[in-house]
Amino acid sequence: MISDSEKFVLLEHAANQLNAGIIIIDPQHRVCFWNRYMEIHSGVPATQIMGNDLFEAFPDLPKPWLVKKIKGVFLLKNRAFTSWEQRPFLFKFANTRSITGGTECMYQNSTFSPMADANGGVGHVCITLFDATEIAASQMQLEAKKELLFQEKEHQKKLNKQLEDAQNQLLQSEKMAAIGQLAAGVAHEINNPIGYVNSNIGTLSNYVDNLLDLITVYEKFDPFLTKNEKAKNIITQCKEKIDLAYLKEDLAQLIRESKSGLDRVKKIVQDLKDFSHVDQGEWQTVDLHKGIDSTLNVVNNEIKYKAEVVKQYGDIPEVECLASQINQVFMNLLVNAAHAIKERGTITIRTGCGIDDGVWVEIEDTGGGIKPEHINRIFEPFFTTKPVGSGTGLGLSLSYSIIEKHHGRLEVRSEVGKGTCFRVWLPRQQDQAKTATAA
Amino acid sequence: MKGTAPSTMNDDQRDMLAEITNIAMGQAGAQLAQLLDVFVSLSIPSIRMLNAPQLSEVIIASPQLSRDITVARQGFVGPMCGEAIVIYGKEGCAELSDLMGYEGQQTPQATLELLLDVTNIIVGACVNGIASQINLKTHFSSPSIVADGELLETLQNPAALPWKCALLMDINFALEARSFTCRLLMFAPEKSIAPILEELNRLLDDL
Repeated sequence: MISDSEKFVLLEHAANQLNAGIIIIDPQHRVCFWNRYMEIHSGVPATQIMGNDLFEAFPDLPKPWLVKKIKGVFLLKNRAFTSWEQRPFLFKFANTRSITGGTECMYQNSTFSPMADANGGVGHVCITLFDATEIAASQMQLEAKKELLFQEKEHQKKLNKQLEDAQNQLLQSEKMAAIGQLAAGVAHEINNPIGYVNSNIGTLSNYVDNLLDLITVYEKFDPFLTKNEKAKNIITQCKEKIDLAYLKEDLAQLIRESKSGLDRVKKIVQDLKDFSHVDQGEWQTVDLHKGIDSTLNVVNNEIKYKAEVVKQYGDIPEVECLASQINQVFMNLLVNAAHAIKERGTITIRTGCGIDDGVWVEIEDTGGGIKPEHINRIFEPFFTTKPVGSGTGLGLSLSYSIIEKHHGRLEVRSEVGKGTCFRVWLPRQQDQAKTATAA
Repeated sequence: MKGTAPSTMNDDQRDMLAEITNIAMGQAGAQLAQLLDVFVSLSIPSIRMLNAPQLSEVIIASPQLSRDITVARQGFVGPMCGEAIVIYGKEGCAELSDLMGYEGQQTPQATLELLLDVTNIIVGACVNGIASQINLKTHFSSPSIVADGELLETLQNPAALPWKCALLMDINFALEARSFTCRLLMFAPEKSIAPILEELNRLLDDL
């Protein structure tokens, strides 16, 4: 058996050899024990700090919090803890990696244990301090790696999405190009017969005029037929039978109407050609009003039963653009505007130019408007609120990318129940460099 | 009896444990009020045996769950061993920080440390209160935050839990005049139930 004093020496020796800091304080925060580990790492010898206030010796310590924590241990007779994860440094000690480095200070875990006194209360609190730098460093490295992985994953996700979008847009523009070519082909085929019908109608009109002139001349000689009653009767009967007066009047009108009908067909064919622009891909300087008008003609069928179109054209300069693609944007916006209108409404087309050397076109409808929760998504590919099968959800996203390619902006403002206004802004001229990157 | 845990407790045992828990809560409440300088209200503890698959029902019934939650845990070892889970709503934490001696703006890290401090105090006060009355010793490991998703994984796979049946003591905490609330769930698994019941029987015999 060893004596108590021998035991005490052994214990003190053990406490000083321990690879952990040990501090014992009384309820007034006076230091009653300070082991070798604390001496070495803090640089404060036990002889200097014994009996002194811990917080006075270490003003860096977070006092109000620590006081509360220590009070809790005295009061509840229960251990308390700190962890490097939430509180990396209780004491600001240099780390032990003076060569390899990696962290600035020693990360610490600590335990605050109650020490019972003779009366069953808590007389002292023992603080044990453990170096957690090793764990902390590897944990933080892991976290950093994890973050890197996560970022890479997000990046990849974004790339995949972009790829998918690009593919869809490619598909859609291929489709539109095919339709455009078909329309141009049909237009061309119609153009030929319309050409000769038109020319024939012109000639026919001349011939008819000539024939009518001849009849007028004949009629002038009517009085000379008085002697030949029979002939006069036959002529009069024939005139009455064919209602010559009406025929003369109607003939001119019929020819006029046919001509205007032909003009309309020609116009539509021209619009179809303009709209589809077989020569697409060429940057040209165009009058946007013409583009809007020909697009209106093409989609007239979709619009005329739904809305009255009000044009408020401003004075705008010509714009350098890919005309067929810009027309496609107008078509999308016009058709959408018509679809937004339930019964009957108005589509207002405004144009103008600002001081920013650009031209804007607004297409506003008096339809149902876009719900706030949808407004951020309308330019997403495949986003549609139309019933399944009615909309591809590609129109606006395609329009957006076309305008983007023109270095312009496509903006929207909408109020549920009142209507929606899309505003296309295009620069007057495409910067050469920009065009090169967009091509 | 050793090794095969009793999965039921009789009414007397339950009443006794409820009484003990009640007293422990009273003491804990008084101690916490003294420490925090604010009145602490504790619900009447609910005591029940539960099977592993029932764990998710118990947790899902937490009122804090209607909002974002933070979950902390702390293990206790010794003759009375088990694990406590404390569920915090995200609200009300800021109101606690001054009580716990935190200064200035709360960073997310400081909020977690605060919740760990609170967990340690609440679990320590309650478990110690019970353990000391039934003369069982217990020691605490340091509390930690249950990572997001970890709890969910645990709940979804009760078969993987290392216990089949546990004694649950369930208490709701609130601070008077502050919006802070939390729910303390103390679990004692099979191996801990037998010594607890033994001590309860001894106390019942003394009556």
